[in-house]
Amino acid sequence: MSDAEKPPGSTDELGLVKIHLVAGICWLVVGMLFGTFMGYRLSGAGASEWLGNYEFLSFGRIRMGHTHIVVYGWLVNGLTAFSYYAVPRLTGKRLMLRKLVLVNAFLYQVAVLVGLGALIAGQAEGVEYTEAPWYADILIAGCFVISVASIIGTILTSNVRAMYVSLWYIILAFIFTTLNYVMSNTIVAHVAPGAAGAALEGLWIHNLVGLFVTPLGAAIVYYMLPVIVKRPIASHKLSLIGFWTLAFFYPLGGSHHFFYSPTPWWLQVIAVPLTFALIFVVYTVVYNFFATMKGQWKLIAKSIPLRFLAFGIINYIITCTQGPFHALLSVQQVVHFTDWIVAHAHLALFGVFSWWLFAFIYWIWPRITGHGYSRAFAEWHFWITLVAFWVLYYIADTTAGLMQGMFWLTTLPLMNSIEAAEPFWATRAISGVLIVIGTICFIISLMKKGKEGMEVADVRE
Amino acid sequence: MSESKAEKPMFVLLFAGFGCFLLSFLGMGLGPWISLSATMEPPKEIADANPYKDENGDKTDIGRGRETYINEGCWHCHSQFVRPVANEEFRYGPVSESWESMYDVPNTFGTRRIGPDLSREAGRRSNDWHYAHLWNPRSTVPRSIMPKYPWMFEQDGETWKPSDKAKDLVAYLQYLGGAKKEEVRKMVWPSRVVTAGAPQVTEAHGRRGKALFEKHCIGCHGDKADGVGLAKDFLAPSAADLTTRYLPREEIFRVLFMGSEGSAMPSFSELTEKDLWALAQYVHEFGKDVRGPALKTADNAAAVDRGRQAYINGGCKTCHGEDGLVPESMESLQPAPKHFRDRLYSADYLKHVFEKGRPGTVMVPATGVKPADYDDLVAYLSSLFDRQKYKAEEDR
Repeated sequence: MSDAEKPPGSTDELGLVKIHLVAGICWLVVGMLFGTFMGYRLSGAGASEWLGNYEFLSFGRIRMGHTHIVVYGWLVNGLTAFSYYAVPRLTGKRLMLRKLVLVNAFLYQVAVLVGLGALIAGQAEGVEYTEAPWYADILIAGCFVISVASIIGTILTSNVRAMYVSLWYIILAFIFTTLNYVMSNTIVAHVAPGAAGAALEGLWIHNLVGLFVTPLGAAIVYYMLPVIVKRPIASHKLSLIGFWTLAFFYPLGGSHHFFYSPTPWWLQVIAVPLTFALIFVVYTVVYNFFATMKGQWKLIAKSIPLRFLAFGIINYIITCTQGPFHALLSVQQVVHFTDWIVAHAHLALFGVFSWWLFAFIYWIWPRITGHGYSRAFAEWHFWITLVAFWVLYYIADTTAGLMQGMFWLTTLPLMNSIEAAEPFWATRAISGVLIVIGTICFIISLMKKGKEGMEVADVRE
Repeated sequence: MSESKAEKPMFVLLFAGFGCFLLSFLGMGLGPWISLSATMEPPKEIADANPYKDENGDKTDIGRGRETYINEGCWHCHSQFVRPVANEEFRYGPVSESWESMYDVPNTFGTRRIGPDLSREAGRRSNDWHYAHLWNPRSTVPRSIMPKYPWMFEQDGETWKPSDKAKDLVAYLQYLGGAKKEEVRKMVWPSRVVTAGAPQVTEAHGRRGKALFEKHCIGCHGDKADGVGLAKDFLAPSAADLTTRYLPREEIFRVLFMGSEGSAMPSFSELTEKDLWALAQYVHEFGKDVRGPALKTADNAAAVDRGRQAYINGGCKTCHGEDGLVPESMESLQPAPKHFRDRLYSADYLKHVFEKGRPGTVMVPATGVKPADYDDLVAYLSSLFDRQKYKAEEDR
């Protein structure tokens, strides 16, 4: 629809962006329902009985379905949509393979659905974050490669003279992740045994977050922040350092997911400083954000997208400061295997990257639909999500994790640690319900054709 | 914007995209793989036999069980490696070594531990326990939050039976850590326990004992302690009916601490000693009324004498030993024959066992004893009870 409304000479692919975003939001709701159901399942002994005879509602399958949906359904769709929007804008060139990626946008949803169906039906592969079986892997990889070909091809053939930061991140994310995805679904899933497999699986898990979601998240911030506050990024040099330290150090830390496992000890030892080095990566982005925002903080009251960006950054500071400290062996002893890590992962993937995607969606929505969103419902979305996630999920689950770790240091029965966590798990289940309600407010806000967001000028860097 | 070489698309693509991936793959993936292959020293019997495949390359029951373990996402809540830190060796058994998982493709180490680690599961619990637990985890662990897996079971009339899927899965669980089974066995199934004796009892003991009983025991022994719990379909021998026996607290403590190998009764040695005594006190109360009548039968010297003859002639002596002292050679039976010196049973229960035996154990129906002699045999078995040793218990 929107292609017709575009000014002449525009390189935008708004229809394509919209398909991925709408699909992503649908998956987000499903993924959250899965997560909430899991939260309910853990809330007490009785909660495993209700509908417990249906195998497709079994915790293990829902658990794999949840991560499958939020990673492949929500994050990949959302971040790909952003890339499809930003790449033509930043290169001044229309996307390559336009017709193919348009069809691909639908095919990809089918691929994710096939994977989800397989997991729910009880066909899984034992690799975390890519449990879908081989036929779904091939479909997902095929669709992903088409997106990569279009995005990377466009950048390489564009003759852009100075590549903006976001483009570096986009190149890194898509190239690295293609290799990473293929590696995990071939070598980790079918070749590498035991501890060798664990070392590689650690890389895969770590790099999916660190070299797909993180760089594309950073790309969103680097793109949107200057546009919204109408001033350039504070330090180009720092962004350069941030980028290269991310690309270099991040992929070297993956074995920290299997500290104290039978993976070689030298690997675990070198992973400590290599992981700790990530603290530099984080603070370059953070510094650039704060320096760019300087004097403009009042804007977060006014701009919903900027507010989600800003609070996402605060969560980013917390989660990315936690990360390097988790890599300290003394900390590992207590927090490994516990809910502390689950809280940390949700803070990153929900509190940071999903919020940056919310920011992008609110910001782009008027451009792809021609109408704004409802301010009131957007406010509800923000406040419900913030309070429910922060207080009822993150703090509760972090506390539960600390208690579990401390309980395990004693030699009391494991059941004691489970009973101790149950009130926090119940709280977490409630947070799930609230976050779903917040997300419904988000959808209502987008569908209400409000005025909010319409006044934003179409800025081009 | 300034333009430098490092900002050219091709440069970023080659160095950041491909280069950093390769560096990570080679250094942190292939490197450890090679280093592991070079340093791993599996025992010969492990190195030569893939447990998941038979000679024809077909999946074994263990292999199929592992497949189910992956498909159901078991590995998302159960880790499979024991760390050398955080008392894990003490809780689960020996620290994991790399050769133990050398046939696991993909690995099932796991990253989260909601339930216990399973890498030392071999021989830790009986198959019966596992079936009951998979069918409904609340049947063996009343406070468990684990999902149930009724679709791995078949209903046969009123009772449930494991299907092949459950049998394969249990075969896999009983394989996990098999190479370290003996070390784990020594830890989980201690061969003896010495205590300083039962403590003075307070009312708090009773309340704590009740809470512990409800938390750990009612799945198998039932909330009435009559041995009919949620797990009943799967247990052979069935769970003890605690209302039919008088058990001194020291004896209960011993069974709680050591478990009963060969039955589904696991060891509860993870509980603190104080808790074990509280639980022993609570369980003790169930069979309190058995003692009086049982000892009364033992007071009839003539009956005891006749019972002794029946005991010897009926073949009871073979397993239960001269004067109820179980011979060492029989201690290896699983579960071991009962010592009548440390327990009293109700006459009705004993007669029931004489008649029907105890399915799931080597105790067969006592066909060598005439039903007419049952009362005498009951008197004799009651007379074996070590009144001297448990005098304090009786006086209490």
